[in-house]
Amino acid sequence: MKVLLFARIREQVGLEQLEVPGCADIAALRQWMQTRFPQQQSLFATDFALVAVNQEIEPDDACVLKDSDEVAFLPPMTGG
Amino acid sequence: MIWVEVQESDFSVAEAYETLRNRRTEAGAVALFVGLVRDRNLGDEVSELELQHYPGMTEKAIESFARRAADRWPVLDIHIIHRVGRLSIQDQIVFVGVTSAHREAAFAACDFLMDFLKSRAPFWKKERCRTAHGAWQERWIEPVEKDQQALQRWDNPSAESEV
Repeated sequence: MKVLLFARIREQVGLEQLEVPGCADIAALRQWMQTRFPQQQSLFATDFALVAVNQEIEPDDACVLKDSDEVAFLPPMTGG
Repeated sequence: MIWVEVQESDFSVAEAYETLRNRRTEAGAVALFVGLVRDRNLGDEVSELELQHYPGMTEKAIESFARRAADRWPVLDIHIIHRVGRLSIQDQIVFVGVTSAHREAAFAACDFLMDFLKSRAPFWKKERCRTAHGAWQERWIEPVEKDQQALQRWDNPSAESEV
């Protein structure tokens, strides 16, 4: 699946997006990212990043993911 | 009608107002809010702001807040413009314009929309600032508690009875 990174996460990881092979759900994807980027584990933790699936916020970490999904890690938002 | 624009370029409040003003003869009120880049944040001098967004999702999220506002209050038109990219001090960041027959709905919808734009729309601000030590640095802006509290007041159904 395509995974997009924004703001502080994008900057610290040094990537705007990456392809991630089969993660069953959001919890598994968070863990995959934490293993892939051990220096930035806290940025993928539930108490920091929100996850959007196909451009909608998904609060349930048990949400099942498909390979065709666009998933994004979003730091706390600061617009306006 | 709802318009949402996310853009790098500046906007004209005068033009946006004239468009809202001339659209609906039943409109008796126009509420406008404009947000600007301040020269200070958390006590530090700020020289520049950079705004990042999630193209596609940001527009959709704002449209959904605008529909919620239109379901909740008897508003006629809603126009939202939010800028992204590099901004300087006193630049315009955001415009919210709402028309309604009477002022209460326009004020409430405008207020509600700003609270959602602050902490529920995918935008991230980074500022270039000078700290107490005098060094210039860049930092991502942290969400503030008062914005969260501002959002929570719309969960309270009694908020509507005030309108």
